Amino acid sequence: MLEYKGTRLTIRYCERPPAEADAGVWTPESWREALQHIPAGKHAACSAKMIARRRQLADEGRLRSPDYWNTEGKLPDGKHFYAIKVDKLRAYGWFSTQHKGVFYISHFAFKKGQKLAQEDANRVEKNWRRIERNELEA
Amino acid sequence: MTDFLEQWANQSQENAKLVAQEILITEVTEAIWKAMEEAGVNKAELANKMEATKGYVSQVLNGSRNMTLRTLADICFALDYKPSFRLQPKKPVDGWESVRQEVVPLKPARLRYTQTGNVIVPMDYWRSAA
Repeated sequence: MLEYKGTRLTIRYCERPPAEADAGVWTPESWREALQHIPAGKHAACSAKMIARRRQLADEGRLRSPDYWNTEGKLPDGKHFYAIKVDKLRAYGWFSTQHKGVFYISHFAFKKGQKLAQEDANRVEKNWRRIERNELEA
Repeated sequence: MTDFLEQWANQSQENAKLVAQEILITEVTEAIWKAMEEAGVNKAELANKMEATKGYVSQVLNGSRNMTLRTLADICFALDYKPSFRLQPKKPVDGWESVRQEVVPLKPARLRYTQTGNVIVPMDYWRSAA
């Protein structure tokens, strides 16, 4: 499984490469889509910031700066899901209870408005149900 | 296996340099937020202690304004913290590599004895001799 291991947390993606794809060169579709909303000249800076913040989260177990991290909506078990923030890009995810020490990134998104988009909340919940409750997609 | 972000970082020296910059900025910013949390100081209070505006502190902390070493020193002074700074080679020297230390709690072993008359014999450690 494709994952990033830090000293405190392992970060896994809910998105998986298609069977025929080379996992080594695969990029999550949501990351590609989110980047399309950012001017091309800023792609490198956004990628570097995401790498640095993901690394910090994996090594320290949390991010403290409100410019890097936000507590988002609630999951069906009453716990919150979170977002790693890079400018207007978000990596939505949650701390797994099924898999100790794992932070799952549900998907990446470009945040258009001030509020959390319902479609992002729905997507996180759907991924959470699949991974934490082993519920199959309808 | 490396993922897409690491692959991107390894694609060129320019990308790797950008990542190194962002890692340092992230580590310093997070260390300041940690110190603020521990000191129970929010952004407005920090600005007040630094005799600066809240907007200035926000810009320094969110990276839209470059943080100079002097600003960092001022933040530490305002929080009554002392910064510590160290440079070390990224690659191990002479084959030695630093690893994270782990604290293993040790308890003294419990010794069990048998007593026959006035002779006390440890059960677990003198088995072969006994």
